[in-house]
Amino acid sequence: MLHGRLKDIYRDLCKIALIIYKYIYIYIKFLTVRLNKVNWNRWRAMHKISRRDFAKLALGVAITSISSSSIASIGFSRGKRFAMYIDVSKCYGCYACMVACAAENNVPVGVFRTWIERHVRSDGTIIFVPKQCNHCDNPPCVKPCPTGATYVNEDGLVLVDDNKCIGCGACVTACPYGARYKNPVKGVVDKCTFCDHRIYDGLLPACVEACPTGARVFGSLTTEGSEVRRLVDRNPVQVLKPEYGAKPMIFYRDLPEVANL
Amino acid sequence: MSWPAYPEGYMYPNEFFEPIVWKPIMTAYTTMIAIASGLAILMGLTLILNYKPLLRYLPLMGILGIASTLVLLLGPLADLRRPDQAFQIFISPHIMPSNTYPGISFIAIVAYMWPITIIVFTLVTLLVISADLLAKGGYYRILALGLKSEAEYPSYYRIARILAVILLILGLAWAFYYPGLLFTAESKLMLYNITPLLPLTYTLGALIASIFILSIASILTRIHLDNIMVKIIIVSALSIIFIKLIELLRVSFILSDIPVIDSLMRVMGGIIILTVILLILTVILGLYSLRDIRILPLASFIGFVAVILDRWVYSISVQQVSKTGIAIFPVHIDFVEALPISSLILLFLGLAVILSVILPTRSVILEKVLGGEKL
Ligand code: SF4
Ligand code: SF4
Repeated sequence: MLHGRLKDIYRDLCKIALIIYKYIYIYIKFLTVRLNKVNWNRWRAMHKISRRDFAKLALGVAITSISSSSIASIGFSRGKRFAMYIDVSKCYGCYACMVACAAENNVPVGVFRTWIERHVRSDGTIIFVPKQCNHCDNPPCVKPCPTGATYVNEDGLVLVDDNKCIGCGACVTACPYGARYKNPVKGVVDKCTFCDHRIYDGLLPACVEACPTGARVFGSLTTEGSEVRRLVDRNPVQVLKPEYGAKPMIFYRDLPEVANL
Repeated sequence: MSWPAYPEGYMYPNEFFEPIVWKPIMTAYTTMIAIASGLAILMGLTLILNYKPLLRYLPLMGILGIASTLVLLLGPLADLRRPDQAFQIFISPHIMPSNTYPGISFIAIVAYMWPITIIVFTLVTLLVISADLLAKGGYYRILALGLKSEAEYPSYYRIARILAVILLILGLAWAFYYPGLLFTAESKLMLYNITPLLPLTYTLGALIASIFILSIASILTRIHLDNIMVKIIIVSALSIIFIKLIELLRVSFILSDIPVIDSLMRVMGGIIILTVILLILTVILGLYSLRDIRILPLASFIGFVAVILDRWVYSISVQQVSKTGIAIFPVHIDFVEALPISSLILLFLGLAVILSVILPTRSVILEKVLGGEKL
């Protein structure tokens, strides 16, 4: 009985503390609201939705399907908009793309510009999910870069200028997709470039060229009639961790929920 | 080939290559920021409010403030993989958002704030002690910033008070900087944002750190300690305890069933509890110090250790949680990492000693004010 009463008092005290906390929080929010829009949207969501839903959101399990109309709403302010379409059901885990990428771009051992995740479903089936830099349309990695070494080029590629990078790691921390690494050989930060040295010569990225099943399709979303545009328009596609607001430009088909952590 | 594996498969292999991107030197860096920003806030407020109990510490605050600010950026510099390109931050700072460079970098802003803080700290300090420098004669007159006679001092003091407003703003900006940087590191959103009151905690921690340094320096220079220092320590420690407790309550009541929070609590829960215990100890010893001021250095030292732990949690421990939120990386601290940390501390102490030899650590004219004379 006493125990129950103590529990009630404790609960009431917690409620009061939470109310006080909320006021302090609103005040702080007011002070810092401009710092990070995604951040506070998340908080707003947190206060509105149930704990269970929030847990899902926090885990990024809720994969958003992107319809063609929502693709049109992505703010392209540039001429071309390079993107990739990856059909997960076509990837059978041969790792040819990883090898081609490492060879093409001198990727040191232990780090990856692209990698293949391997997930085992409860029924025993295995799914392979290719991942890499998403060349996000609202890239969180560019914002904290102090020197402007990380930048967005006119076609939407997110690139790193080796001569400007000081290796502070702010972008590595900011990228939600683990796509960046500090190159142990060069000292600067590295990641997928969509093989910019190839595509502007009319070639395909090395990974796309190496893929034997055509699981990866590369092109410009803003170019009428491009294959990637057609596929993204016609198929139900998903992007990784949409809750971060990064607007990734890698569109997946048949992405398993488990690959979205 | 063997792959590092999460329960659901392997993910983000780049994380396994270098899980802790920002090394332990960042804790020393953020602690040094705490000292510098705390001193800037204290000095700014003392001058703006013309607060008599703290006036006698102004020269010391200035000297310690200049020394700590001067060494500040050596912390992150030691953590850069390409320190030879560090100058890029000054010649090509990312402070104007554009299509090519969206957003604004906090780090770039801080890089520019750094020389400004040094200049303002130096100017305010020299203005405050200008009469004493004039009295010393010789080359010291140059440092007196053109002061001709003691009669002119009140106008110098007034200018110092005006500059103190800028110093206070800079102090607050430094105190808020690191939490701000963390809040904008969006990938770790869930990790950092369980504590939206972090800027407040960091500011209060800065006050504790600066009082600790100030009390030690005061003892060494034989300036007697004042009860107001104890009160600042007690109020700051109590406030941090309050904030930490409500945050812990919130985490355990609202967010407890979220896996990422679970991971987070596993890496930082113990340290947070230890921090709170140390802060409670600080408050208890602080209350004793009100009766016997000699205990203040011990009370503030324990508070200072709590501040360092708090910095460790938000600079190192949070990095232990993977971007997936479900894996935890161990921290391997190499002995070589102690080298830049100790160099940073030694450099700060060395600079503080040199400056206190060059500049007067007590101001005769301010002592006169304390004796009842008007400026
Ligand atoms: S995936 Fe990461 S590195 Fe690539 S653009 Fe997005 S945030 Fe930047
Ligand atoms: S590591 Fe290089 S690219 Fe990344 S934020 Fe720092 S300077 Fe910019």
